[in-house]
Parts: sequence; structure tokens; C-alpha cells
Amino acid sequence: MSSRAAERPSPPRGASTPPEASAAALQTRGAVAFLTPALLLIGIFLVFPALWTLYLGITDYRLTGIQAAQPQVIGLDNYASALGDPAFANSLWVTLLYVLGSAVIGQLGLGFALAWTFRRWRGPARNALEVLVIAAWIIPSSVVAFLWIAFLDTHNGTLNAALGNADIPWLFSWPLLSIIVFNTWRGTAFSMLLCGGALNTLPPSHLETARLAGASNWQQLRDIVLPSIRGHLLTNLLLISLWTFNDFTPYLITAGGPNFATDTLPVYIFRNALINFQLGYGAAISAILLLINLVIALVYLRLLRARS
Amino acid sequence: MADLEIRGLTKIFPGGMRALDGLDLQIQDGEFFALLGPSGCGKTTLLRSIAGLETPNSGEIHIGGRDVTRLPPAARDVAMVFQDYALYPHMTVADNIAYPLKVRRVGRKERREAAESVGRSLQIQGAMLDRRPGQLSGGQQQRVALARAIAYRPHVFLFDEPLSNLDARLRLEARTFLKQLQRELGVTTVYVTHDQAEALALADRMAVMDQGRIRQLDTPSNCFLRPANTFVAAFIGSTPMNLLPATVQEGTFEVAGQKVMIPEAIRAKVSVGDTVILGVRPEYVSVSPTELPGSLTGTVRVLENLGVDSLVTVEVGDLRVQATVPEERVPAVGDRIWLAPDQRRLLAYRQDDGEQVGAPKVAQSDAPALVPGAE
Repeated sequence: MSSRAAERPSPPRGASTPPEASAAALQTRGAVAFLTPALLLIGIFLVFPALWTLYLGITDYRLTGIQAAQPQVIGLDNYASALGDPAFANSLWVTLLYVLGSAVIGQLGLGFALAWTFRRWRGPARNALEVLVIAAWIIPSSVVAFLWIAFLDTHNGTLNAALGNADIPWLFSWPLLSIIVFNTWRGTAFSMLLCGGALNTLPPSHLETARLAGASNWQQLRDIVLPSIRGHLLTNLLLISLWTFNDFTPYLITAGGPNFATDTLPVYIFRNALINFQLGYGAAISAILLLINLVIALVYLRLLRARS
Repeated sequence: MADLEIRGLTKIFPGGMRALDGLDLQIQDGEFFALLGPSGCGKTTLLRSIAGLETPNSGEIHIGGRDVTRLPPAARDVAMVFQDYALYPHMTVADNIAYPLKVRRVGRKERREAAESVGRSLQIQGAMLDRRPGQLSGGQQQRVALARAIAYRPHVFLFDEPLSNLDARLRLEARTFLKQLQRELGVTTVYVTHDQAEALALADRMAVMDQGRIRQLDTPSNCFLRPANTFVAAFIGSTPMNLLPATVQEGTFEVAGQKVMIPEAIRAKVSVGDTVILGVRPEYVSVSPTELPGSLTGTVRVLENLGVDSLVTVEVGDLRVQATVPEERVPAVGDRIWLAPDQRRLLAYRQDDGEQVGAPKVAQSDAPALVPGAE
């Protein structure tokens, strides 16, 4: 917004300089003036903390004790110990399952299925459905976390009550599955809206031509719908994968337990940096998380570009 | 190859919009049939009902003697070409053409051969077969869409304004090409258009539709020369037909206080005192700088150059009458001129229902009477 405003040529002032030159100078000055506040904010709140995290990652900085006052640079020791730590490997594995289960299969799969099933719905029924799904998405994390704790509680939970006082310890027996279902429930709205929008871009004549040729629903989906909205699906997948990878909400339900079964990487970082006070180590894991995010993003972008 | 019969077809959309109103129609085997009408007249709904993409509320559709009213689109053996061509952007041209065969589980090799052989007849060949639709021109895309319809070997072609996305010059070329192709293939064709010139040029017979009904079902030349009613008269023709209110007197029509001879063919169908609407195309009005017997006179108000001819708008009393004149006889604005309608081409319509005088009265419960200027 600010850059567009800056492009507007300003009337030349001073008669001594040629009008074009002074206009250009004003334009540049205007651009700088408009951009500076935004760049400053980005610098202070995004670039500096990122660089600071990278720096902390190669120190033994702690929240308490002597290293809090005088942190030492210890090179790649933090990274080495992370890679040798079975708890880290466990976290990485749990995170991958969580992303695969709740984002790729859960949110995208369910979101697309809902969008496809209800693509012809219009009017109040459609609005009601959208309100229901979006509500899950916009309610604050702390509130939905409490709702799910209440829902899954062993003795007084809504789910067990619905199952006839079953007393099943959901969060204890199926902790990872529980948070996968939770995150699917929570995030499906976004994928549903995006897929719905993508399906709307598909000209009706494309599917009608296929119907006239005798294509079944499955053939229409495989041959026409999915290839046509591939770009939308990949963009959606990129966003929800990254969001899920960095999602901290499961901690509010399971606190990483029981026995680290839901100890995703963000929870692992939180535990090490802010509970065990190992800020340097936490920073190093954060850098690894960033790297993984980058790899995910690059893979998706490569896939996106592959559509010749 | 098959004939097409439609009986009492009615389609009412949710919300009460009556798109088709008890429509009857028979189309011969191999015929090129055009459905013409203004937007919202029901022509596309009729086409989509034949395809099976719309379910009619009542009535029957028979293709080749088979009742297909309740059959799904794929079981009707019809192929449709849409206005936007509906080519799949992610498939090559060859894959697009052969997609209906893929659905029918024809092998890859035969599909390629089919695409090549159909493509050849439409000048889609060589490297073009391996391109994507996005890399083709509008005219080429249109031919690919045709090729896909042909590769399907349907009993009936359904065309939904297939030329309207082409520019004017290409449209003329594609029109000629399409007519020739249809003659060669001999496949029954239903062609929807809102462009009267396209319908006149292409069709063996045509139906002019309005508000879900057929207003005239005839050959293009009859629709042009002898429109059945004022609606068709006003709709067909590149220059609109003159529709002039008149009263019948002894041997003459009185138009804007002046007199026009009643043609022999009409004389028996009208009686003195009737009010009628006279219809005559600008092409059949001769213009003279001197007085002609039985002609109207007035002042030239507007001149429009049509290329070979010019269109002259003349103020006759409080009416405006248009005539085309060849380039060497173009009058000047403000000139007083005389206009003589060709007696053989002069038509008279009833004031109340807009049908030709002498035509049987059709029971038209809710159709409004069509008078000039009502559109």
C-alpha cells in the first residue's frame, strides 16, 4: 500500500532543478518515508529475533545461573546434542505424524470432501454449515482446548457420556489420535473454504462435458477436478502444513504427554527453553524447525512449478 | 444418426421462472436446426434438456425413436460444444479430443489414432496435438472442441453458441467451415444462437423462440421474408423491419395520414376499419426523389452507411420509416423523399396478438400482445 502511494509522482517544487529529476527525487524520498516505519517494525520484531535466535543457538545461554549472565559460544554443540537426543527424534516423529494426520489427511481431506459434497448447496443450509465449521476455526485456542478437555474427559466427558458412560480415557489411551482429531476439527474450515473457492473457479461446462461423455463421479474428480485445482490444493497444503508444524495448541490439552506421546517439536522447544531454562538449546531446535519448514515450503513450491 | 422429437416439454426453474412452456418440436435426421431467440427465451434450456443436463418438469424427448427423457446424459449419445469450448487446460489437445474415449476405456494407442484421424479432418495435426489448449488461438480451440464432439461419434450434435467467442472475421470463416462439416458428417445438429445472421446462414430450419415458446418454426428464408408475427419480424434482419400502425380503408392502408395500396394477397384478409401493423423490411422499400404512386413521403432525418448500402431514416408524420438505398442514390439529410414499399413484400399483422392477418387465432393465455416498441 505504502509503495503504491509512493509511485504517484509529486509535483516538482524548486525551479532550479529540471522537473523530472526533482520529481524522481521526491518519489524516492516519498518511497523511503512511507516504507521506513514498516521496515523498522519488521526489523525489530522479525529480523532481529530471528538472527538473535540463530546466535543463541550456538551459545549455552540459560535463563538462570552463571550462563544467564555470561553465555559462552559453544559452536554446534547444541545441534549435536539435539541430533543425539532420542527425545528430539521422538518429537520429530510425533510432529510428522501430527502434520500428516491432522493437516494433510484430516484438514485437506475432510475440507475437500465437505467442499465437494456441498458445492451445490445454497442458501440458509449452506450458511449454517459454514458458520459451524468456521466457528471451530475462529474460537480462541485456550477456549477450544478447554472444550476438548471437557469433551474427552474420562469420567465426565461429553463423548463418554454420549457413548453411555463408557469411561474411556481418550487422552491417555489415544493421545496422538486425540490431538489429530482435535486439530482436524479445528482447522478444516480453512481448507473447506479454500477448496470451495477453487471448485467455484471450475467452469460448469467442464464437468458437463465429462458427464456427457459418461464419466463417473470418480473419473470427473480424478481427470478434471483435481488437476484443475491442483495449484489451489498445493498452496493450501503448504499453508496448513506449516501452521500445523508450528502449532502449540495441543500443549494446552495434553501438555506433551502422556510419556511424550504428544510431544511435538514446538512443545519440545517450549519444554527445553522455558521449563528447563535451556534457552540456547531451545534456540538451536527452533533453527532446526525453521529449516524443516523451509524444506517443506521448497518441496511444495517445486511441485507448484512442476505444472508445466 | 437420429431424428429428434420433443413433446410438450415444460421446464419451470425454482422460483417459478417458466423457461420452456409445453414445447413441441420435430427435427429430421441429419437436419441442421437452429434455435434462435433473445437471451432468456429458453433456447439454451431446451438444448440442455435435450442433453440431459436439465430435467424437464413434464414432456418427453425422443432421440432416434427412443424415449431418453429419464436417461442420464451419457446414455443419450449426444455431444455438446459449449460457448467456452470446455477444453481441459491440463490435458494436451490429443488427450482433450480423445477424453470421451478414455472414459469408455479405449486403449491409449487407439485413442491417439482416433485423435489424429479426427484432428486431420479439422486441420489439427502434427505438433499441435501435443500442445495445451492455452497455447492455441481461439479458432484452433474451437476446432479442438468440435473434434472432441466428433470423436465421440454421437447421434446428435448440440451447439451452444459455439462461435460467439470468436472475433467477427473468424466467426464467418468458422461458420462456413461448420456448415460444410455438418453436411459431410450428416449428423443431426441443434444449434443455439442469439445471432440471427448465424441462424439464417447455417440452418436448414429454425425456431424463433420467446418466453419458452416457439414463435415461428420455418426455413430461414421464410422467417426472413414472411415473419409469422411482429416478434419474429422485429427480431430477424440485420436492419430492423419497419412496423407501422395502420388502419384499413377502401383499397388502401392509412399510415400516418397517408395512403399505401393494399397488396392483392392481403386484400381478402382485412376489412375496412381494422387496425393493423404493416411490416416491410428496409431492403424492400424503394426510395425516390420524386412522387411515386401509392407511396409515403417524408423528410430524411438520419443517414447510416452500411457499406454497400446506406440506411435512411425518414420521418413520415409522427412515424419513422427506414429504407436502404444503394450508394449512388443516397439522399441528403433534410431532403423530402418518397418511399414505396414492395407490394409483394408488404406484410400485415393484427394489432391485438401480433400474428399475421388471416392466420388462425392461437390461444395465448398469458403471452402479451406484441406491438412495435414493446421490446
